[in-house]
Amino acid sequence: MLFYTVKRLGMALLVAFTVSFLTFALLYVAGDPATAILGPNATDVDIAYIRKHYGFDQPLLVQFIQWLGRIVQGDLGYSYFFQVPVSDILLQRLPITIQLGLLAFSLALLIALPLGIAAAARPNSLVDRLALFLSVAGQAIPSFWMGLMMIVIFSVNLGLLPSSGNDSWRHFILPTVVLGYYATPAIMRLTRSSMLEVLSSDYVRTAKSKGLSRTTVLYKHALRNAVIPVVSLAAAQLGFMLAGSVVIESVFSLQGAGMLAWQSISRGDLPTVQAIVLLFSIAYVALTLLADLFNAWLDPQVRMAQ
Amino acid sequence: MMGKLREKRPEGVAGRRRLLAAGAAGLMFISSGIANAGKSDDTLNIAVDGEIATLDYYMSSGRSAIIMSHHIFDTLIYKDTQSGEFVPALAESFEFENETTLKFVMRDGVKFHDGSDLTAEDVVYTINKVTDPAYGAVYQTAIKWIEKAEQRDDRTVIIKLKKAYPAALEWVAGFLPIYPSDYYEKAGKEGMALAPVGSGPYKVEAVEAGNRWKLKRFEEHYQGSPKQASIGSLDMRVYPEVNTQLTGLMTGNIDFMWKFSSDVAERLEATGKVRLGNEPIMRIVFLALDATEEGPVKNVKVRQAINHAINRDAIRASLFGGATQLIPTACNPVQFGCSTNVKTYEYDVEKAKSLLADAGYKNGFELDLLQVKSGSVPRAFAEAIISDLAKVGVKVNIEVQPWAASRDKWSGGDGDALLMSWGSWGIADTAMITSYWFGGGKINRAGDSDVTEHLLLADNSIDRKERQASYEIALQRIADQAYWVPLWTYSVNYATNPDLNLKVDSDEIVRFFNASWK
Amino acid sequence: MTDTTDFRTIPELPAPSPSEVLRQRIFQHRGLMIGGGILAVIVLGALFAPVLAPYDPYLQDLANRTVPPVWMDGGSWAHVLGTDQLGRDYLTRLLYGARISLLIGLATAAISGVIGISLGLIAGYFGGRVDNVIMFLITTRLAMPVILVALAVVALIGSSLTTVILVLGFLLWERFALVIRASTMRLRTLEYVDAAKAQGAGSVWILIRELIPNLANSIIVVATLEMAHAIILEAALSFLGLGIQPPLPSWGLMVSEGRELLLFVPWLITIPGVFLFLLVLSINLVGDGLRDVTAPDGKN
Repeated sequence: MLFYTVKRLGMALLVAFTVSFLTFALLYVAGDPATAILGPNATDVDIAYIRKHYGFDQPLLVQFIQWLGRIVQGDLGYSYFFQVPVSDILLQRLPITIQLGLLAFSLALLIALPLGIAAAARPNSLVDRLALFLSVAGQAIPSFWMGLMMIVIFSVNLGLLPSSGNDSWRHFILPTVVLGYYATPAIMRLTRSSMLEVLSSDYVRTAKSKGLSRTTVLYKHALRNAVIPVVSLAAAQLGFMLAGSVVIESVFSLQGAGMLAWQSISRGDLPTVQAIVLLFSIAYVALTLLADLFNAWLDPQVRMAQ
Repeated sequence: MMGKLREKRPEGVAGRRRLLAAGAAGLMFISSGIANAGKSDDTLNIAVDGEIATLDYYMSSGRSAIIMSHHIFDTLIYKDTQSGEFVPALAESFEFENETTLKFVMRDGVKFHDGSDLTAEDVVYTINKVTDPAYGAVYQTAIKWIEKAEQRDDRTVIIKLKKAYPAALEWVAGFLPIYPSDYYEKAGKEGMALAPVGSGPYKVEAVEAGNRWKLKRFEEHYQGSPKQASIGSLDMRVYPEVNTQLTGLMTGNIDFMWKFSSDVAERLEATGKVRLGNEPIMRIVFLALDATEEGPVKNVKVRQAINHAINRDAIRASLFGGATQLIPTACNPVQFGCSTNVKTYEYDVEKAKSLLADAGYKNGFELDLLQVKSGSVPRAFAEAIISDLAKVGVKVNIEVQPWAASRDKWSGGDGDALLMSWGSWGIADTAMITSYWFGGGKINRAGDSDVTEHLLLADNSIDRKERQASYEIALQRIADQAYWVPLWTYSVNYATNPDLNLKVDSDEIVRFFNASWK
Repeated sequence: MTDTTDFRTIPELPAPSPSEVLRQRIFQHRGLMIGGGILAVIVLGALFAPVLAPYDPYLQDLANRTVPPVWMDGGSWAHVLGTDQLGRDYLTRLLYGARISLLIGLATAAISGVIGISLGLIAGYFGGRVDNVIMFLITTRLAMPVILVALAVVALIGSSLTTVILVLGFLLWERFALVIRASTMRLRTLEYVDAAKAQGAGSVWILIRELIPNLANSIIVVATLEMAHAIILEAALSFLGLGIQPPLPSWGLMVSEGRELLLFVPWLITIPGVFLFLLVLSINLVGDGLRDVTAPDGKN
């Protein structure tokens, strides 16, 4: 387990490092950060000064190392737009995104797991067909459109729920449903197929033949094994949902990190964009790492296979 | 321009803790139930449509930041919206000692929000600070006429002008808020950005940067101030999208919103749930063309063709309506010096085509258009223009960005045309628009030194006749050369809670301190 | 794929030929039939848009703005699905918009397919270190938030149809790579690859001649999923203002343009949204159906 943990951790760090380099390089090559800082009325002398002051005159790799060094110390850079450290802004915006992500994730699990298990328990039953229908339809509904339609129905026509903002828990209902629904189909499908596979495996058949009750087989034996691939997928989905908040937050005017990312992109506020892309990437890496470790702990075979 | 560099961070660990606490407070917010609004809790909920980057006013751009500054800060004098006269504010008296010397005698007993006294020292400090090029104030136009400020005695401040400048008092009244020198020294730019201290009728209570600002009436606001607040709290929030503003307005969570299209206004009126207003303001809408970079638009015939190709009146009538009026010239005709005695371009597709053919673009060309994202420049309107240009073979690639980003691009030489609106800081003087866009600086993409010279002459003359004549020459040349496609004046739509007395002033400032409940 | 002529030449064969089984499965698969039907209608509409569309998609008629669709009060047969805020015929724009969505889907799937299939083949065939490196690339790509990176890149290099296709194409290859890698690993151990090797075939030749045809099924299934994915992402990018630019009639852009009047004229966004839903649904149904009917033991 220790060896596996170390190895997996190393991999995660390497991925995080690569992603941060890509993020840095991608946005860096796009524009001259000195002019972005100074604005249009800058003189050549000013630009030269800024380049030197911020180290923009250094080679890309050197700058990247310096940037990374600051990131590691918790300095995410300085927002061109707000003229305060990016971390100050993010501290206000991240809680909203995290809250939305976790709520939506819980909702997705609450729908997907029971439905997936029920569908696998009785293939081709009504439940199975309903699950299939929901997942096929769910994948085809564009989330921004679903969000707008929910606003029309629940906020405007029925007047039941607020359409925007983050003042109360009621404001989170619509965005949670839309973002949660977005992640449901994949998790449900995998739960179903994974359960089906385990249910048809030898040891479950053995357990059945020993006369164990259906419920015991289903919950005690099958579920534990079927959950392994689902944990990995669910972790990845949570990572995707953080990024998906860009669209949802803009539909519901939630001032979270996703909305900030979108606005910062149109403002050309590169340090803020870099910081958010990096944070979302690292969240994904960390989540998948945790899922893998959890699975390895759950099932020794995973450790061996790697 | 070193100004945008960080001067210092909020004090280390304490600063971090404060911010963490703010983050945690954000979480609490959600669980604490519904914050309802309006008359019942004496809070005016305001939908902010534009961006406010920082509350350090001189470092922010855009109309929302200007409006915010009128509430948090005070200026030496005040322009009465009814009479148009300048009246005493922080200064109890003021006068031009001579053409280049403005004298102010300070009022006693004015307090900042932190309890300290506002003195002549603060005035001198603020003015000298923000006019220092190293500070990097965003709107240089508002301050570049100032030589320096000095203190003559305990209560007397002098502003020295670089040269005679007729618009000086306009700037002093609307755009030169006074900062507390001690606080600024201590808190720096970041402190001012997140927790500013002023002397205005409202003080800042809570800030979520770029998103929400809670202001509370400042009870020790000085006696005799022209800005006497009636409503207890202002809750100003960014709602980046018109539907969220509208649902908020109709459900009573928002008391004021503005700058929506006439399409929305018509339908909103039909609901009968809100009070609607429409106010003609100084703002005009225009399409600026580039004459500096190589490309088709550099050719005057091409620019004239574009002028002929756009069916301005049809677009104005169907998409704007209201009190908007077509304009032939590069300023608002109500502004001093804004001559309409210029060459005009009627809608004529054939003429446009033949001009393009003469210029060698018989088969058209591609044009990169920057569009400023704003309520006064809706996307449907940009599309209508694109469609008209397509009829003469000009294929438009459009890029929509907020003002700051568009300004940077345009000033950096990007784009062949810029579609936007300009509010002239609400000041009725041609200097505020034509001289901004055709004066010095990289924003001027006409690159016509002849025009610039005449504008400078007019800007700095105190002889009204001479000014008018010079502006006219400049404006005539702008029209001849078709540097712009002037479109129309803008009249702003706004809507309020029916229980609220509030109007948008014609200088495009919303004075929430003048608002009251019915 | 098997030769389709054999069932005719050997009619006396007792069991149905594989292609006949396939054909039966296809026609018995309800999802595939429904999806295929909808998709066919949309594709035909897109292909014959110039013939079918009653108007020019860019023609503005400022006197006839937001005319409602025919089934609503004030609607008329002149504009079956109504007109937008600039008086452009909605049906016409939807038909032309289908071209954009399909083009985005196909082109993105093609680019990401080439990248993903190449990487998957290489990883699966060579295994070992090569595989480790490619798996690392896939993990890294997965860690990057697609929509954010796409938004940022499009904003930086300027949005256009080509940019959107390229950006999505270079971002959506990982599913191809994963599926092809797994299938290649399985096929590699099979006899015919060994046989080809024994005949002295070079690695590259084996990869191309032997593996690709056998992977065709997986490739088509993943390609449909990625097409659907790309179409949704384009719509989201356009909705956020950083995708297709006006006046092109992208469906996502149409939703975005109708958004201003969401509260008053909801059909402006309902209609393009329903079309988007139907297109993505039909592609997904076809993809799922193809997977089912080509699955070895014919499950479902």
